[in-house]
Amino acid sequence: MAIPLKYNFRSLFVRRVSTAMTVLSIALVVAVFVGVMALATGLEMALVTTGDPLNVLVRRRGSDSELSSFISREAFQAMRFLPGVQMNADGAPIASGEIVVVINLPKRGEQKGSNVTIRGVSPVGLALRPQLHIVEGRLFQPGLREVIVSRRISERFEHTSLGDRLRFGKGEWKVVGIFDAGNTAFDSEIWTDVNQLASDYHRESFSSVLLRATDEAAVKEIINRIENDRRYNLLAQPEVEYYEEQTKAAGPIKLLGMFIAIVMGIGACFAAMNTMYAAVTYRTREIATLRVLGFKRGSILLSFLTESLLLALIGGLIGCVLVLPIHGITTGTANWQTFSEIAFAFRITPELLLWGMSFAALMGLFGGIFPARQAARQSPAAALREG
Amino acid sequence: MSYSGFVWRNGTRNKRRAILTMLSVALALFVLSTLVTFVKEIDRNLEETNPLRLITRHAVSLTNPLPVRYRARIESIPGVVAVTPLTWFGGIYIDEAHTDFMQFACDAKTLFDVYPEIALPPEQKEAFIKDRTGVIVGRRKAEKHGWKLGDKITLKGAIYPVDLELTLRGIFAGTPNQEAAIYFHREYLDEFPGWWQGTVGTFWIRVDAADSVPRVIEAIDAQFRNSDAPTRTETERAFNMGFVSMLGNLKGLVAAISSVIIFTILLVTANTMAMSVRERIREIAVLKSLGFRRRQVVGLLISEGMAITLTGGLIGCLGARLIWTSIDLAAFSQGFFQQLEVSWRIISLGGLVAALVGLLSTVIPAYHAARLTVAEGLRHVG
Repeated sequence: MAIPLKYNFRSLFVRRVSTAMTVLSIALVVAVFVGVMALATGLEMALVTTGDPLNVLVRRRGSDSELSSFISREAFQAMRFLPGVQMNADGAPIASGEIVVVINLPKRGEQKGSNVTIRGVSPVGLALRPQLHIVEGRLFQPGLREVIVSRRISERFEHTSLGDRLRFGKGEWKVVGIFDAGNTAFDSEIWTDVNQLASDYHRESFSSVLLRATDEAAVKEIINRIENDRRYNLLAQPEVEYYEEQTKAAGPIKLLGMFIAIVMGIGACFAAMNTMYAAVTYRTREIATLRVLGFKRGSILLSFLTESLLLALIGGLIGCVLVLPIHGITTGTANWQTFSEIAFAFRITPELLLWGMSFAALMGLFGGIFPARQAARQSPAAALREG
Repeated sequence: MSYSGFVWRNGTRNKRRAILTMLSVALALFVLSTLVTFVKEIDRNLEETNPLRLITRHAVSLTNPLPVRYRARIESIPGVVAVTPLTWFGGIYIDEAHTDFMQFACDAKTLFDVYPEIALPPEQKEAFIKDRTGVIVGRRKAEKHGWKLGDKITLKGAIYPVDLELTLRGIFAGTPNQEAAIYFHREYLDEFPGWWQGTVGTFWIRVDAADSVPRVIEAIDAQFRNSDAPTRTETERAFNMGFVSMLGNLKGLVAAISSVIIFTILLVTANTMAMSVRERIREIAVLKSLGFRRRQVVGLLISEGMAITLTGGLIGCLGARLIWTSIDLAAFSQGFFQQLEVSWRIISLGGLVAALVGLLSTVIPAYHAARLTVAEGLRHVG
């Protein structure tokens, strides 16, 4: 027969100061774990959710990002009319030649700056990213020195508010709009007219080309045709894949999170173990009484294990609640592949919380198993005589 | 029995508890000393800079090249001792996992004027200057990749669509960061046709004295302000800081995590010490009846707590030192860290934190226990 759960709850409550301290230390370890992982998740999600499955991104073979790639206008023209490229309502191919450059801007409130990506796009390029919409101001006008800035960049960098003037290329550019790109990598960029940018930077060629295929089969077809064309030496891949590859930027943060979580987790295990051993010692006679009443060794073991698990799970729950407020806070780090800032928000997903709770449960189990075994092994006669 | 012997015996009489507490403190201090060393390592990169060295880059960003002809104009500015161009190549050696070094196209004749700390035997220096496809590498990288003089090293370009076939002509010693770099001739890169011909990434400048620095910076930038390629000149330190700043608020993150960790171990040890004191209330009463003062009793208990946390803390910090120095970190972090050595200063700091935690966590339970009268204490059922 199992010992009622109420017994464990009450026991925890009797030693409330000790329980509270153990619970809190487990809570803090879980909070740090979930917090650091939320940072990594936010960074990954900003990249993973970027791209449409029907979009194909083309860049120069051997370049590791759009920044180090170039594609001639001639190659772009050839690509536009490949079979499988979708046409828009006007009968024009949905293909966008784009230019990517990097500028260094000071961060707000700091002297030092960071690199920000500037993307030159055509109207087709805008149509290819329907998730991007203007939240303030208006779109840039082709032929004018105007830019639109993502809200996250605008929050974090100087000279990027609506109406400000930015200096790059051959002179000043006016910020005419603020956009939101739905938590994608474009939320870390500044956009402008591709032709204006090309003339400022004396660029004959594009950095990359984005094509929209008619369907999944056409995606493969287009990629094959581009890769097999020996004239241009280009690399085509689904846009989604390109951004997924960059998620390795989150690798070091994840590693840090894991490292801290595992080492601190073992430490918290020891703390839980201490508490549970103390609990077993204090309750030597109680345990013996339970045995005399007919509870089996297995029931005692289970009961103490449950108690330890309970302790850890309450800790885990508090830890999760403690860390919740960081959800949504915007921050940024360097994406070395594009050599520019990637702005993203801390993201706490239900999955991450589940990880946190499982982690807490693990601490409870490991911390509880040895004390519970000791409790179960006690001889009732000796224990009753002792006190 | 001596005072310290008494403290130690008492502290470790519940061996299991003492060991568990020590270990949890040790693990926490292991993480803590690692994090602090991590931040210190980043700062050290900045401290290794030469205050008389400046860098000029394109005002817009590092990715925009500068015309090579700027060099003569910078050289003519009073206070400038030497100028050398450096272009980051960013190629791949075998594959990404092996490319744990920085590659620069340089001007072999002036490189050593600006970087006097690059220590290269004279005959190797001469061989390097003579060989158009020659390359020099840092000692540690040469050891790691097993390179010997005369070896061929092929770099596959990523930004520059060219493959460089280089011959190892020299192995130099320098600071840890410098030794992670390799230098080859920019003339060799310039032979390949492409947009990069006649351009360089950055100019590195040595000035004559510290008080010339602001004036030279201003003079260089004024020189090119209204040209097609305006420049931004800064000290080497400011330039390195720019990279650290790109990583984001690293220090803030580390500080936040560290304070949570310290608070956690405080909770853990406070809990243990409270348990251990509670069990011994009767004993404490005995001590008092034997004539121990209240202050002495509190002192004994606090020393006990501190002995446990200090031992744990030192185990953690020393363990961190041992582990991080015996792992090849450069390969693990793809060259981001050349080394991570937990210094003796950090170890003593860790010990201090651990001891403080011991003090703070014991003071309340010890005070409570010592306040009880002898009669109350003896009557206590624990």
